[in-house]
Amino acid sequence: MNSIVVNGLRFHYPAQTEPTLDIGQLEIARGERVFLYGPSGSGKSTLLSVLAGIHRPQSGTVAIEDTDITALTARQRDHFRAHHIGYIFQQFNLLPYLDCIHNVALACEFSNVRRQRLQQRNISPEDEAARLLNQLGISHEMHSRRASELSVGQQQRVAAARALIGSPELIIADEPTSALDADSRLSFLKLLFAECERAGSTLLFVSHDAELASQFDRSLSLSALNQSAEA
Amino acid sequence: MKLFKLAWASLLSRKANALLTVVAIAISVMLLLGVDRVSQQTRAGFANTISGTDLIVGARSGPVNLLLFSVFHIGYPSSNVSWDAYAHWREHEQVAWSIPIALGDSFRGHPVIATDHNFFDHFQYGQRQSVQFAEGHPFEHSAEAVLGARVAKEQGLRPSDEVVISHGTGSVSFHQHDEDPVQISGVLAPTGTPLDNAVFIPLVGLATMHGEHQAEEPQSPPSFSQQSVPQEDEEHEHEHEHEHEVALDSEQPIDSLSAFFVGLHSQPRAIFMQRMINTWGQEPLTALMPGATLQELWRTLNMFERVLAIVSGFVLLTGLIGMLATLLASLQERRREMAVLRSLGAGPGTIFSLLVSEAFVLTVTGIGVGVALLYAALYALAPWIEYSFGVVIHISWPSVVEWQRMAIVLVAGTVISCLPAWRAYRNSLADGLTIKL
Ligand SMILES: Nc1ncnc2c1ncn2[C@@H]1O[C@H](COP(=O)(O)OP(=O)(O)OP(=O)(O)O)[C@@H](O)[C@H]1O
Ligand SMILES: [Mg+2]
Repeated sequence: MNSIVVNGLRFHYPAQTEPTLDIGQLEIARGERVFLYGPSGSGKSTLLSVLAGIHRPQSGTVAIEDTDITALTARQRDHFRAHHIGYIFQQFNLLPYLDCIHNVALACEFSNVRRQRLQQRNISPEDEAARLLNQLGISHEMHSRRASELSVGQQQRVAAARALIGSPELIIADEPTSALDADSRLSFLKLLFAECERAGSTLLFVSHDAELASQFDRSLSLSALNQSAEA
Repeated sequence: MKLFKLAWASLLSRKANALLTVVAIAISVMLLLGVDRVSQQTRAGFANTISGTDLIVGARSGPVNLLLFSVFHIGYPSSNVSWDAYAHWREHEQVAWSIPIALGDSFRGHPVIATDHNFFDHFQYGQRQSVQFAEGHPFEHSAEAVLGARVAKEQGLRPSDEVVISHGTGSVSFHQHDEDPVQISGVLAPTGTPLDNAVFIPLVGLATMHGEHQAEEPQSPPSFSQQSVPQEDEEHEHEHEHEHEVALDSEQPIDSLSAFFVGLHSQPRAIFMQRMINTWGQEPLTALMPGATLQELWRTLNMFERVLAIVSGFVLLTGLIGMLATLLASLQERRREMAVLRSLGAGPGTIFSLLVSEAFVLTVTGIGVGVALLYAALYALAPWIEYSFGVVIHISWPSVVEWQRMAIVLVAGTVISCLPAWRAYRNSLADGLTIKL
């Protein structure tokens, strides 16, 4: 059973003619923890956003959890992402005016699937948000602080908690450790793994930090994967 | 967490912007409603200045001019009506009552109206309200005067005070009437009409002031017969000895009048009477029906009113464009916010309701603030309008038309916000998510 199956993917940004991504085949098994690396500008973030259905490739298929998301409309992809994918953005994309708890719980607001998973465990989105934040080292006093009042590293962890809440099948993390020191990085990774394991989620993790690669089941070089001229 | 709380938190984070939008809408609503209200109120105020009078008669002139000087005390009669003409029409079988008036004098800038007891008995304004006395009583002697409510208030005068009335209508008088003081006999209750700004003296008083009865008209019946009257008046505790003081029962107190008001036994006969007076062979006269001429007067001001309406329309347009601009600007600011919500699964319905409900709330608040500003302005400006035009602005609840206009603003504001909402959803998701911090 695969979590991600990519076939003949070609993607270029509207303004460009050369494809940014040209990937013949890529398969990631369910529950696998994959480390994706490559030089800056090689298209890592672009690939992640194609996998998450934010960008739609010009050709090829992308199947996430056995659903071909290239066949979905934008609206359906929004829904699919909300239900099945937790995305830790490179720019975090927190809402600056909401506090930590509500930023995290927001992921359940528009996804009944995530809410139901929590309901089965008899837990409210706010309680789960608090638990995840505590797990990731955001102490209780900070839960009611607004996102704009957090350090970059704290924002990253709140973004991680938001991706994890409601146990989506696939967690996509775009350089979530870039603002952390070496020790915090490792402990963050451990917590992320623990949460993924708990939920049985697949993890696709992008980082420049080659040291972390050994922690993962598999390492992928985008440069090797990508046949586009740019890479 | 409810969507409402999300929207509220978002709005609070953009306080300054929201405030600006509210102010823009508030000002346009205030102007839009205010322009209309002032012109309507002014029209109503004009109509309230006279009531129950069927005809106003003056020397041949334009009816608007006759109405302006006789009712609003603006301008002068170009020529006078002879007392004989007045006496003729006063005795007509259709005439129930008549009020003679002679204008031209002023007291510290307030117009002086020479008239007789008929004025206090018959003159009506507003919804057929009679003139009431706040203090004192009508004049009984030639050297007495009655003050309008505002004159008394502004000049700090009370009954039994003495004043000197000057000739001519300027505030600065060139020659005073021989320094003869008149005594105030009474003060009228406020009417909200030009009466409040007027001083009333008896016709005989005007005649004696102008010296008509001494030299110029020796054949005039009142002159000598009434010279003896003051002697009897001494018992009235007058400290000053008024040489010219005469009683008011004279048959012809004065030679000519500025105009006279006429009340008929049968109001529908007014049109026939008007024609009869206008075509009278003995003296060229103009008779007008106050209601019709007020409308004519208002029509001449109609141009002004139409310009105001056009201006207020543009004001609204500007306000709405301003709101659209602010909404579009705030959308730019909110691109990431909308993209984040979409990336978490918020559908077009949610994005729409967030943006449109915010515009709705801002518009409603703007309208509320605008109405509050309007009422504040009305309260502040009403005394000035009353002072300048003698017209009282009644501060009442918004009219149906005003509610309609507010509804139009609300609908327009809400509809306009659909454009940014539509654009927010059209914008690609990636566009909003990859804005660099
Ligand atoms: N919105 C965009 N429009 C056009 N080109 C883009 C856009 N975003 C990225 N690119 C280009 O696509 C290429 C891949 O960008 P991407 O962000 O995927 O790189 P990355 O591997 O994530 O880099 P980094 O490690 O610095 O985050 C780059 O050459 C970049 O210039
Ligand atoms: Mg990147």
